[in-house]
Amino acid sequence: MVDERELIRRARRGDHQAFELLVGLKRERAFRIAFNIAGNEDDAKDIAQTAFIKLWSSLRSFDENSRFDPWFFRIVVNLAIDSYRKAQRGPRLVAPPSDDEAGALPAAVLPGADAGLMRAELSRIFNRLAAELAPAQRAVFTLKEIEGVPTDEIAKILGIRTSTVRNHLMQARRILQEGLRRHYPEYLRGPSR
Amino acid sequence: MSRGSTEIFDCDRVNAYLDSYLLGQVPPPERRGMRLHIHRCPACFQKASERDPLQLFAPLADQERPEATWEGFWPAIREGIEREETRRLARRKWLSAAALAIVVTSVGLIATRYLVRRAEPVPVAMAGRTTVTPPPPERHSAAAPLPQTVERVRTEGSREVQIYTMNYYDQPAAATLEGAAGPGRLTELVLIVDAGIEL
Repeated sequence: MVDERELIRRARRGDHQAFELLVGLKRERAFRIAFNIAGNEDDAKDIAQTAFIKLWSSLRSFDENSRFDPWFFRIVVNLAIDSYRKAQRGPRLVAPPSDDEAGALPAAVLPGADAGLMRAELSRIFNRLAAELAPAQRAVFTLKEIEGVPTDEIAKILGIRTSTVRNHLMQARRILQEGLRRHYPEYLRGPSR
Repeated sequence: MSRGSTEIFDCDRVNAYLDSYLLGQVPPPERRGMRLHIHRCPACFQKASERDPLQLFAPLADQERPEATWEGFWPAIREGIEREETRRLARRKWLSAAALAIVVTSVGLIATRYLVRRAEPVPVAMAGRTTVTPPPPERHSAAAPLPQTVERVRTEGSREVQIYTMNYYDQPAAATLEGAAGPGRLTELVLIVDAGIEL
């Protein structure tokens, strides 16, 4: 088992090999956060790579007595928000579903389906519904509801107040539930599942 | 957290902790175990999604990319790091050069100012309207040079030379309040020439 603290210590001293191992430990979550906020695989990969390059440059300023994940994921989240903001200003790559698309959820996302297929299909649905969210709302929902990050930590990551985090979360949940109700009413009715 | 953690979560345990789970109060390893159970068990999934429909998206936390996703991932980062370090070194060199240029210019400016100040004539008029002018023993101007002297001297090699000594004021001084011009700086010019040469 690789000791994360030791890897960070060695990477701070300029050890490329230790840094490569650290990248291996953190890349999956960094990619996932970037993807769920930016909504695009290619962008998510670029964001994760840029975040690691920035991490290398700023690792010396990391206080070894503090927690590494919130410090590092702050870089990832900020890059992802910037990317999502740019994408929102340009032509939409992921269009929200139109109103006449209402129906039942694909069977692939329901219990009993193949786990890989289920996540791919869920990801597609989430991306389409989350296209309606503002960047901060999407970041808060991703961190809280998908990653399970505590509210006070999200506030630190985003540099906002905890009350603002709660507010963003409430708005994001309302918009996503509305999207589900509008486009997948069968799912919300329950018994037909 | 191992995937085996789902095995310890059966329907009864999930039902017991469902409220805490939905409030986000279950710690990460157990949370994952509960999540994996809920998304495999239709009955528990129904209970969870009735309470919170957005539980639908909870399995996104378990997304894992296929190994192929990471091909070229680290080499691109390493390349980026090297590029960044080269840029930082270049920036540091440029900053050092700029700092050196600033230091050299500052020293040059200070030195020039010091030399110019030394070369300036002693001020005749002081600030304000008072004028302090040391009265010259005699009034002279560039047009009326001081008397010159000529001296004939025999050197050690029995060579005869003439020494011309001339004194003159090289700059007219600033006018005083009384309107009279003060003398300039007194300069002594000494010429030593062969006795055969007449100036």
